[in-house]
Amino acid sequence: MNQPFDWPSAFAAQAQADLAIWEHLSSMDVPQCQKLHFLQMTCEKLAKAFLLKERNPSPSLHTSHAYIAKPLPRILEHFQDRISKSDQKHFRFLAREIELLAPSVDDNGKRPDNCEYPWMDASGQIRVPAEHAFVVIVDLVTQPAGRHFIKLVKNCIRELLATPEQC
Amino acid sequence: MLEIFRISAAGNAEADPKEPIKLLEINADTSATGILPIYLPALPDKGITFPSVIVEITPQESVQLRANALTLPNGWTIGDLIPNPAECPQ
Repeated sequence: MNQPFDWPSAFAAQAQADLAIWEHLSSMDVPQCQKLHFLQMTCEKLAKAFLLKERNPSPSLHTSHAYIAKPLPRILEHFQDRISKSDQKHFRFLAREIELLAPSVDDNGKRPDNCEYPWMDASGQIRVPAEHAFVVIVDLVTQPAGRHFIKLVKNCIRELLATPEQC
Repeated sequence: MLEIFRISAAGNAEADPKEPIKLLEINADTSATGILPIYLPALPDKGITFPSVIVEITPQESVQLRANALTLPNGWTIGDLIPNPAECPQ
């Protein structure tokens, strides 16, 4: 348990732990925000694990949460041959929606909805994540392309942990 | 995808066979989160024999990049536009 980690494998290991909780919660009757929070953390840490492994230069890597939408679809496509164009498009849209679940990523105030903190919507009403349905992202995740996305996330984490010298 | 440009490394780095292929992609569907080069290693067992770097930006970020409000890292510069095969005469 106390094996030494470098930064990439540490991020990948934590991503794997977050994904296990996402999967555990998936069939449980708990608010969507709680489930989605673990999916957001999984994807962020996987993307950062890969970027750290490949020494991608970015001073904000340890502090910013906006590291899912751009890199993650590319990473999944890189490791998985023959992803259909429609799935690629789905992955990009889904990855951006997952990124927006972090409270600090709000598309310049246009998307205050997030899975952690209450926010005020465009009509001035205060919204609570635990009471919010997250309809768009739940639909995206549960479609076949969304399940494909989750499967590839899981495979990529496993590959990063199993053969770090090749990832 | 609107346009793809080559990115050139500084000095004679492009003559090094180990230098990755670097592309700047202008994509209206991506998010405006700045310059984030994504290094993708070669995976010979999967038929990917060249390492590459992708920098994906929005059209608005492209304008900022041209105006030097955004910059590429490592002294990289924007190179030639890669022709779109769909727009080439048969």
